[in-house]
Amino acid sequence: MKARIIVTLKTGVLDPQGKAIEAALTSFGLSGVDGVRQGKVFDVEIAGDDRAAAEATLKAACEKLLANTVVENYAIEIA
Amino acid sequence: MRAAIVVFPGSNRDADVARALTQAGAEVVKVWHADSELPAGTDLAVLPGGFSYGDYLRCGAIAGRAAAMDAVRAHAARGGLVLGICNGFQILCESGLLPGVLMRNVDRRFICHRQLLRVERADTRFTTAYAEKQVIDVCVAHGEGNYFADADTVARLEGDGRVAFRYCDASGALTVDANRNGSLNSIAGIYSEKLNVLGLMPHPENFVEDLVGGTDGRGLFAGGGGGGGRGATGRGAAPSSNTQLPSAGPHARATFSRRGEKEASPSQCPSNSIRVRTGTSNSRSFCAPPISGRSMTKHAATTSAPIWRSRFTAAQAVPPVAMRSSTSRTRSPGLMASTWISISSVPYSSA
Repeated sequence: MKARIIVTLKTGVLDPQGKAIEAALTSFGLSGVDGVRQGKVFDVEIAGDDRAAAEATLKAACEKLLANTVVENYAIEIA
Repeated sequence: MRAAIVVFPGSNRDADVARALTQAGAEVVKVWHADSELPAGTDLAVLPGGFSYGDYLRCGAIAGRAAAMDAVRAHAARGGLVLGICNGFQILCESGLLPGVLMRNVDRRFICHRQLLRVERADTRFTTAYAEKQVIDVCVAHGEGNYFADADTVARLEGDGRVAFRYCDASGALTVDANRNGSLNSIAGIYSEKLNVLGLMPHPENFVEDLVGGTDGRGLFAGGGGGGGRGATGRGAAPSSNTQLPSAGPHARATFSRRGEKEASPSQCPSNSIRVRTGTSNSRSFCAPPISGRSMTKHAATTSAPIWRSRFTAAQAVPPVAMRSSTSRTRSPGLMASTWISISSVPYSSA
């Protein structure tokens, strides 16, 4: 079973990398970019086909390691 | 004092901090990150600077979950001293021993320069060799040192007096210029609730010799490391250090006050003892170049280049004859970590 975890910075947390990317996009002459926030994507292979168990495993993975919940949110998508 | 330095794949300031602790009279043991116990009788656990796991995922994130960190957590819960420097501070935050997080520097650059710090309090077990509000001259070298925590946490840290060091200018003022990484409230280091865990971004362990620019860093090891160490090993240079047992309670204001020692004349100390500065502000080495405003940014070369450090680390793990052939010159932190791993007999995945 394939799953995707998306980790993003919480609202209000300063994101210098996002700001730099935004500045770069603007410098290319792309108009209409109002803001960029950088995050991370993890594609995870889960053994078995128990969706509830997979979700519990992935939630534990996020809480324990993949996201720092002080500054980051996470979302889990199971294919 | 027995100090245990936890070494992770990618740690590279372990030898520096070992040297500073030894100089202060502590007995130093290195502990591999996959070990689940600290040596018996450990008073101080140290998490050194470096780039553990190549800063993969987030700085300190993977190291913060290492087996040795469970032992460090248990040690801290017993009231034992824990010191995390630079990457060690990041690991402490990631492991939950200290609140908050170290984010990317506000200007996105790796900064490496001399840095003045204001010692916020001199009554903890780490800072007895300093005076309150004393300005010390050390250095910083990091890309992610921008301290951040939610407003409640910062208010609690401030209210409980848990800020250890702040970035400041020569007069001790907290200016924007002095706070190059953008940390909230100019925070450079913080304590745990019981004041027995200290994390800081700057490198006091690199300023323990006049030869490399100054000795202001010695005080930290004289307090947390050497001070207790001299007491515990019976080689105390000052009478008051005998009372500084590592197992004493967290609120040690009276017990550990060493103001009397600060006033002692140098002749009362053995020649190899820690020299304690008596100045309360702008206390600097006479051998160091003067600091005035932005000029401190020009002294960036006081820390070693990564090339040199990676070779030095390798030299400890392989025989001298094999050193050249088994290491490669690397420029990036990530590659440094993999160099370290490849020469080690223990696979890092064993954690």
